[in-house]
Amino acid sequence: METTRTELVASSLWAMGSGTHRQVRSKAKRAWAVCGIDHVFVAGVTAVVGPNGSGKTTLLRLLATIRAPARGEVVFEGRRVDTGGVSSADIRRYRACLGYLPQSFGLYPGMSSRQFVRYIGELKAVDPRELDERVDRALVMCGLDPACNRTLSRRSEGERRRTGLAAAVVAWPRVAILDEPMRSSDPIERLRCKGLLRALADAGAVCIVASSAISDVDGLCDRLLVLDGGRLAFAGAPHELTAMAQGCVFTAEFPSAAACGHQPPTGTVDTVIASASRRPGGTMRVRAVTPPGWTRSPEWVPARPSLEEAYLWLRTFGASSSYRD
Amino acid sequence: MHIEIRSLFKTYRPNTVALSDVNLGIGAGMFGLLGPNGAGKTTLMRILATLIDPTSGTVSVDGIDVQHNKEAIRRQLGYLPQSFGLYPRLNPVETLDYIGTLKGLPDPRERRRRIHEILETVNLWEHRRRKVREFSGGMLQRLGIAQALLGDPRLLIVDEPTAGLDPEERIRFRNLLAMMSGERVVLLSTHIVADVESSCSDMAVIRKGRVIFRGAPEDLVRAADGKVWQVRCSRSMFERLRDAGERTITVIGAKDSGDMVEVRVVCAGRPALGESASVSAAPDATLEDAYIALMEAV
Repeated sequence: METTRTELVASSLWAMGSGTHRQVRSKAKRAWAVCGIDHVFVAGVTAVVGPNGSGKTTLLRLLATIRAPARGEVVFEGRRVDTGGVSSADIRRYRACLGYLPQSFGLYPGMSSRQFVRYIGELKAVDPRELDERVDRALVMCGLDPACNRTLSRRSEGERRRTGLAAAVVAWPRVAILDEPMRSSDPIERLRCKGLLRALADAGAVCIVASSAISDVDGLCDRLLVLDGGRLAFAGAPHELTAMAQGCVFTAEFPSAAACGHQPPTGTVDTVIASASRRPGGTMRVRAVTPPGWTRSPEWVPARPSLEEAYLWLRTFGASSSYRD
Repeated sequence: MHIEIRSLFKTYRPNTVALSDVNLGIGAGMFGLLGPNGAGKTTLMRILATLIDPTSGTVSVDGIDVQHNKEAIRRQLGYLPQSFGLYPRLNPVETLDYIGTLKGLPDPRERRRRIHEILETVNLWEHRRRKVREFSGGMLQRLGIAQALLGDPRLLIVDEPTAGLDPEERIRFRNLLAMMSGERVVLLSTHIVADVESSCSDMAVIRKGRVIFRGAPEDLVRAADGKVWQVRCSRSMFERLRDAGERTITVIGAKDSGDMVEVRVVCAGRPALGESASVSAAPDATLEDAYIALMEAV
């Protein structure tokens, strides 16, 4: 069997909720958080998006072998690696080339960022001759100064998060699973993080990134997974999603917010407002997504969908069932 | 409503300058505040919210000096801080009734009518009987904005409100703010540049306590004219651009296209990359591109 490309396969994965999400915890404690997900993760950046509680974190935990699936398998290079599997050697081999940034994690408060990343590098068995250079490179790529010896307890949340990211990539993993790596980052830090993910992917790694802001993965990801209630609502290239929403996004300018004729902020039954902004002179410019075949009144002008608008369209009108509600 | 900020300074400890000579005039509408972590955005918002005093300089709202008339300003103010606590065992109606009483809305019938109206606006009316502890992050944020709206404030200050919201909640939240801005001043601080682009009519960028840009989002995009480029080059050249950390060129995105790579870069002038790369001005610069061009300019 030939395996020239790194591939991580999720094969009909099922799992109960992890209990990270408030609603999962209180209301649907016993609900399935991941319901039969099938997907082949290939080299490149795959973004996982979806509403809160849709199963993003649970899916990432299954792939990172933090949790065992109730049913289904995780397969890496032809070998089963989920913790429900039998061969611990395969799991060990997989974990050795895995970098994982959890949604929240503990850090040793008395260490500096550099000490922490170096420590993880040692645990990951990075070649000692290369260790210092790799640690510095990971820190710099995450926007942290290797010479700074401020302890983690005195770092901001964003800096701690980026220390975790540097630790996840210090061994230059072949599979990187990152849960919201850009949370609490400012725009330049986000840009740097995108550059790091791109570099990992270009080096042939499978990068799986969960994000709660579409703008963070727009222009970055090669493939996009949209989760809804633990199932895949969409899997494909971002431009395939925007193509689906083509002809369903319109813009219009109204004399005032009240004149939009919408129940702010969600829109009417057949249009959903994607954005609204006041123009000089007090008029209101609105962009909206609409169901396929919507008969527009003349004030609406067709517009090219952004990825965020395409996502909004998919969530509102994409699944015919949710539209009929 | 008009806010006038004049030569505002704020120093925390002898060597920590949070704000340095900030001058801003802010009129009705939605105003976006962008800047790196630690630039002084939250400090500025707290001064406007009368929570801290400036070291020197003045802030006036419709001609009224903020520092010496805190109560008058607070009566017109709605503030949603970065993080806030609510009582987990109350439902949203009880929460708002409690806060409304504290805010000095004396007439119970009028208060209830107003609470109903606000909960409709933020789409929480259907959840009015659920306890706050069952709320998702997005519902909590909307309840946060609902409490800020009690008492019809003419000045609404929201500090990074969208952290923890999912994409739809984020869209709904920023539309809600934009629709409300009308006669009010809505001041929004955020790290999501795209949200400022889609909702704000006016904005400022703060860095190291100083205002380095002030104008409409379109003005910032226009200022980036001739700085955002599309480069088509070989993979090896792209990797050189990416890794060399060449200070004059910042890579903002890259897409494979056959053997070549389409790279989007920010550069003060046309990047000189030799014969093998084709360089053209990017036709569709976004506010995020322009922001990066501004920040990387120095």
